[in-house]
Amino acid sequence: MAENVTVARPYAEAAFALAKAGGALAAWQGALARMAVASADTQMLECIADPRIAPAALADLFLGVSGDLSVEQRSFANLLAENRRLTVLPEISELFEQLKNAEEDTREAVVSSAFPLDDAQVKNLVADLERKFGCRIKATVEIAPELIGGIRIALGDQVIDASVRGKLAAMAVSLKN
Amino acid sequence: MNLNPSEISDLIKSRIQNMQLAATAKNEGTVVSVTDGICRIHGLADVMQGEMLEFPGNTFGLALNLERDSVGAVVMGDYEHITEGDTVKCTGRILEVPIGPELLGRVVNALGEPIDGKGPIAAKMTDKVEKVAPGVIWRKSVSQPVQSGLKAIDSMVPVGRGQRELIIGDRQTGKTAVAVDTIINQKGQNMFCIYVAIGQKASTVANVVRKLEEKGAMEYTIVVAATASDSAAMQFLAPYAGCTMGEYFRDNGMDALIIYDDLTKQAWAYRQISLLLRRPPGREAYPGDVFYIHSRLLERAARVSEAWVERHTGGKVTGKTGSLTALPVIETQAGDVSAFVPTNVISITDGQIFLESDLFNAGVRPAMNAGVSVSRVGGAAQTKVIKKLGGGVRLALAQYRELAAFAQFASDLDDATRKQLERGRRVTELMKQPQFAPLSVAEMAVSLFAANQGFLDDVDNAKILAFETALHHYMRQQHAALMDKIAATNDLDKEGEAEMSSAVTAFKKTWA
Repeated sequence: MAENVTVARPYAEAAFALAKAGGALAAWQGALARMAVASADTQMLECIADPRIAPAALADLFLGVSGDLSVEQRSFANLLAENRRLTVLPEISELFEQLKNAEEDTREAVVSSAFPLDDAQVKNLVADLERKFGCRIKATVEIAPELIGGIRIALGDQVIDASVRGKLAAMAVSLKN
Repeated sequence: MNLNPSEISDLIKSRIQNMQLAATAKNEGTVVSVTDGICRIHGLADVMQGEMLEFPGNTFGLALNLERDSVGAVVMGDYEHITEGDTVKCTGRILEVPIGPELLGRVVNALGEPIDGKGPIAAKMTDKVEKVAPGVIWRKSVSQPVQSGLKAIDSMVPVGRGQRELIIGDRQTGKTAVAVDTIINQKGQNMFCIYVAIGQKASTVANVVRKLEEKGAMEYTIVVAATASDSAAMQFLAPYAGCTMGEYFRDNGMDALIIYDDLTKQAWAYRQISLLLRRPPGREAYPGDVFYIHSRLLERAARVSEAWVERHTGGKVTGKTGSLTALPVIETQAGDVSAFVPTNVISITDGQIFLESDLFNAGVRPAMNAGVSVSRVGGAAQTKVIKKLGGGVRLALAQYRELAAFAQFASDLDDATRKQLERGRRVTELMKQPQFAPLSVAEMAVSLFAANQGFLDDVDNAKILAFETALHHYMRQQHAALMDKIAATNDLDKEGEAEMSSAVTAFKKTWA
C-alpha cells in the first residue's frame, strides 16, 4: 500500500542513518528482514491488532521472536511498538534495502524469462544492463512460461519488455486504436 | 456481430506495418485502488503531470496528482475492468485529439472519437488538448462582428469575433436556444462552429444535432458531446478538446465560434474529480483552482494577428487574422449570480447576456434582461448600420424600465411620460423573436429604423410582430435593391434613410 510506504519512509531513513554511522548496514538489513517476517506472521498480526496488549508487552513479545538484535535494533522495535507501527516493518525493510542499494550504487533487476537462462547468458545480460544504467546490477532470474518467449527485465519502476507476450499486447493496443 | 470502423483490412495492414516493436524501457506502476473512475497507482516514478497512462484493456487515463508515493489518475471511459494490482504504463505523451476540417459535420466525444455512427474520421492532424493561449503580442483587437441574428443581442449586446460573451441564466430560460440560433445564423458568414455539450442529456444533444442538420448548419459545425452518462473525466475534458479543434481554424486564419454548454457542469465534474483525488475543498466544495480551469479555457478564445497566423502556418497563409469566439453558458440556481462559478466566469468574460425566467414566462423571448446584459468590447465590432439605429432602442428600453415601476402607482401621467412608456412597450415587443428565425442585417436595420423613427407608435402593441414580418416581406419584395445595398455595405446613407422612410410610410398605408 502506498500509504504504508509513506509511513515507513522516515523510519527506514532513520534506521539507515544509524546503521551507516555504526557501519553495520548488512547487520541492520538482516535484522530488519527478520523483523519483517516476524511482523507479517498471522498470529503476530493478531497480537499487534489487539488493543488489550500494552505496547511494552507487545514489544517484549515481538523481540522474543525476532532473534538476536543489537541494543539500537531493540530500541527501534520498541519505538515501533510504542507508535503502533509494527505492521509497516515489511515496507521499512524494503525501503532500507533500496537505500542501501542506492548507497552502494546498485540496482536490483528482476529478469523474467520464458525459458531457463544459463549463467553465461545472465552474465552477459547483467553486463549489458550495467552499461546501460551505469550502476551495478543485482539480478534475480525468474522463469515465467506465460511470456511465451523472450525476456522481461524490471528495474524498480522501469520495465524493459522484450517478451512475445508484451509484443502481442502492444500489437493489440495499436490495432484497436 | 458488431463491426468496428477500425476493422478494415487496409487499416489493419498499415497499422501492423507502422508498429514499433523495439523493446524500450518503460515506466510501470501498479493500481492500488480504483474509486469512481479515480485510480491510485504505486510506482510510475518518472510520470509527468497530465501525461496519458495506459491501463490494461485498451483504456487510457490522465495523471493528475503526483504525490510522494503514489500517482492519482482519472480513467477516461469505462473503469469497471480495472482491478487492484493491474499494471499501468507511462506513454510519454500528453492527451491529443484529432483536428482539421474533416471533423466538420460530425459528432465526437471528448477524445475526438466519432459517436454519430458515420464511420471513422480521416483527420490528418492531432493536437494537444491543453495548450497555452496566445500571448499579448500575437493578439489583435476585436473589430469584426459575429451576427447572432437575434435583434436583441445584435442591437444591444453586440459580440465581436474573438470575444468571450457569457450566456447566463436559470434553467429553462433559453440559453441553448440563443446559442443554437447563433450557430444557425453563421451560414455563409465564413464562420466555423463548435458546439460542446457538457453533462447534458443525450436526447437533448440529439435534438440539437437534428435541428442543426435540418437548418443545414451541421456542414460547418463540429459537435463535441460529453453527456451526463459519460465519466466526469470526459465531461471535464470536453471543453478543452473542443477548444483545440476550434484553435485549428483560428491559427489557420479562419474564424470560429465555440459554445460551451455549459461550464457549470464542467465545474461540477472537476469538483467530483478533485474531491475523489482528495484535493482540499474550498468554497462550495470546489477545489482551489476552479477559477483557473475556466480562465485558461476562455483565454484561448482570441483574435490573433496576421503574424501569428503566418508563423503558425509556416508562411502558407499570409495577411489574414484568425479568431475564436467563445460563448460559454452558465446555469444559475434561482437567479443567484453571486454563486462561486457564475461570478468567476462573469469576471473572466468580456460581457454577459443575462436571461431571466420572469421575462421568459412573460413571453419575452429571447428573455434577455437589457439592463444587466453588457458587451465590453463588442461595440467596436458592431455593424455600422445596427450601431447607428440600435442606440435608440437601448435608450428607449432603459427609460421604459425606469418609468414602468413608477407608472404603476401614478394614475394620470403627463404626455411625455406616457409616450415614453408606449415607445418602451413597443420596443420590448419588437425585441421578441421566435426560435430558429434569425434575421439578416438588412431586416434588422428595417425593424430598428421603424422603431426609432416612431413608425410603430400607432401600431397596436399586440400586432407589432405581425407588422414587422409583413414589413420585412414588403421590403424584400418592393425594395430589394435597398436591402441588398445595406447587406453589402452594412451601412445606411442619407438617401437610403430617405428611401426607407418613404417605403415604411407607403407600407403602413397598405397594412391595416
